[in-house]
Amino acid sequence: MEQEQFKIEVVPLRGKLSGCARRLLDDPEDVEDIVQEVFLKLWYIREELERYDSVEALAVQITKHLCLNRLRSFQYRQEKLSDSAIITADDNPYVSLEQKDSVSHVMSIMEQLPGLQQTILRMKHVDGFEVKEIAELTGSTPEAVRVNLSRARKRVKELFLKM
Amino acid sequence: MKTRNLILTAVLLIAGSWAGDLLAQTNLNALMKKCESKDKVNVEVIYDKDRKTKKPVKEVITITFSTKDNPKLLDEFINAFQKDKEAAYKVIESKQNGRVLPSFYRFSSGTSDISYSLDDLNLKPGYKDNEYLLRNGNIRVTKIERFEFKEESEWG
Amino acid sequence: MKSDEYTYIENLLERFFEGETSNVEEQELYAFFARPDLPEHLKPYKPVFGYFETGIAREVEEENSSKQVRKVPFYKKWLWIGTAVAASLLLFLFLNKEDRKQEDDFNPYAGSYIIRNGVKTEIPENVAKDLDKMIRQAEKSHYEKERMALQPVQQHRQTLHDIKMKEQEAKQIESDIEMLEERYKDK
Repeated sequence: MEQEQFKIEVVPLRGKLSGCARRLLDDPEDVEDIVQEVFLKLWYIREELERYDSVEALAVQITKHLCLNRLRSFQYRQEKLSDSAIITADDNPYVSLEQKDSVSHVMSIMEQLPGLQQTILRMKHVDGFEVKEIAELTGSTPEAVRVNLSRARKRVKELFLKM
Repeated sequence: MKTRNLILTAVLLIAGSWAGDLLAQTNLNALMKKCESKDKVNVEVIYDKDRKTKKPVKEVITITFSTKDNPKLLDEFINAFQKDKEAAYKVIESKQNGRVLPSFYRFSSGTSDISYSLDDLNLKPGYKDNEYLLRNGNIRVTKIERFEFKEESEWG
Repeated sequence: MKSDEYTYIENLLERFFEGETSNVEEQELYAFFARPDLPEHLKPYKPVFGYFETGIAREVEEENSSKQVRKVPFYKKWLWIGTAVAASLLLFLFLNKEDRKQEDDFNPYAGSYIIRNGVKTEIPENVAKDLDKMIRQAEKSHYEKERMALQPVQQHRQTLHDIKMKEQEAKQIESDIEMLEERYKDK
């Protein structure tokens, strides 16, 4: 499935996916981030898409999954802020993951970024897409993509300067 | 002027009598052509040409695909068979899973004799399949066109 | 001069972290940070831009190769193999051109081709034997289908024929009986 086909067949799903994300997340900025991430994920598996009976169903599934992950990480962040000890919530995989991280330093720079930022960096620096093109593939405004690219790059800079 | 009109009429008359033949297997033929540009459909086109005239004696086209990768293609073929059925002089159908499917159709078209066969490779009907094609798909459609066809003696 | 140059770079730098630079402008930044003589205040950025330039691509590649998820679809592999085989065959043919001139130049399978994934590949002459086999197999399968389909018809005909024979036999027996009866009647 090439770019044009992707834009014609997949990008129009945006309305449905935003609707789905909005039901689970309050912050419109989070909704936009999730939707961008879903489209970029779909873009990277575009060759497999023809195997699915319904790309729409798949996209909705991914959206829900990412929203739930985001909610869980919210909980985690809240707990951290509220100054209670980092109690391992049994069903929160992010806690143990972050703990491991601070101890082992094995993770690559990229892996320390949230999924969306990782993917945007990949689109820009590995696949060579311009911001405008990424926006077209996700049905976003270039501004919305720029915001996430900026965040990603700033985060990378932080991680490097910390080292 | 007159001669031209006469010739024109003669051409139309001849064309008319052939019209039935020429319309034979058009749907199947068109669909086979379409398959050449489809993703995940394997096509082989083999000509066998006469040493003297350099013209093709036979044309064998084999199309193989899996219903997993091309869910609608089998139905498209069945529709095409259905549409061309009237023009076929030999029709063999088979029943599979309670469904009547075209198995073998034979047409006379101009001076050619054309036969189509639809096979479900998973069924292994008892004769050997081409090893190198099998792994790619479950459905195969073969077309054999014999040009300047004379008689049954042409069967390999 | 120098400060101007740095102003330009600093501007690019700021826009880079705002996500506003184009690919071309980013190449300029990478080229700048590859220089050996960097001013003190910009030196810390060198590893960062090294990462953006090649580090990310490297990490992605490592991730892909360790995952081993990239399965080459079978048909793609076939096309590659087919093309490689075709290419090496063509090379072989080319190298052996002199010998071939002796034989008849005619190729009865000229124009034959295969298509994989919408890509057409002409079949080279050297695979002629296989093509012949393929034609025969296709013809054989068509022929067998016709023959198998005729079987019930043939059986039907055979049965009708058998019935006819039996009827004739029966008639014969009847007339024999009649004849015998006639003979004994007279007695």
